[in-house]
Amino acid sequence: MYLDLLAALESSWLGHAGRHSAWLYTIANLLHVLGAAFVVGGIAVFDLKVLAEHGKHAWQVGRYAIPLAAAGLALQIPTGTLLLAVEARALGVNPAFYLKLACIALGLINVALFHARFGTALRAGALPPEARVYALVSLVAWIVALLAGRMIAYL
Amino acid sequence: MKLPLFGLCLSGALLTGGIAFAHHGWGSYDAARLMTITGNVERADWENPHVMLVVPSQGKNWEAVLAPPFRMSARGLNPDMIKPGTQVRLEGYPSTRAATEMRAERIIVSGKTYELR
Repeated sequence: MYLDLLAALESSWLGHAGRHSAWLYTIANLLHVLGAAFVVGGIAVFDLKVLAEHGKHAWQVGRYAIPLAAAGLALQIPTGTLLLAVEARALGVNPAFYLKLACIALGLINVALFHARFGTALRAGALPPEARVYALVSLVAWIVALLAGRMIAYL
Repeated sequence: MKLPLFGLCLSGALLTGGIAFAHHGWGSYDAARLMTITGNVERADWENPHVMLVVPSQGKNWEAVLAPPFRMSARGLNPDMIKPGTQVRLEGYPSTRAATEMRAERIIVSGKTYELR
């Protein structure tokens, strides 16, 4: 089922376009690096603010850092899909790719839970100490996602 | 600009109808064992992420991984220069996973050497 999905993605117009256009692939590659910088950079700054000073006034950082990370994610999804489509059958079963997907899933679940639990407290300017666990999980998940992504080329 | 470019890619894709090779990661080549093969190109896939050539040599069909198309162009190569039938000489490293796969460090075509790394 998953392998069929990869094969379908690889033989789709997106896969063909990615393989045959030097520019499209190169631009996707460049933007995927920029998006990674936005995602991990934005998230790291916010997480550090949550970890430091008991998350006091974390929203002052979050209202800039979170949209930056979201913009990065908006870049990562289409560019990542194209980069994957080019060689989906091989890349999709790469162990580093599995780790990357798992970290992204963990990171996204963590974001959802954090905002569901602490969204109101965050805007009120005072986060409870438990919020720091989420910041730590987030830092690890997104950094490992980035490193695993780079490792795909070497496995 | 965008639509004609896309159309060109798509029609190229439909014409070649390519099944891409699945090559392995950059870590899986034996850089201690430089090898050279010479032969006539049997198949050329000018595709991302890396251009691939099939070159029969000494009874084996070698699959050679070259550079990304973008870099190939930047180094002065184009698809016509390595089309099937062309004699090429490839220097590179054998894969440690696939018996007849190599990563080409350079290609010598019509007497000229093109560095690929």
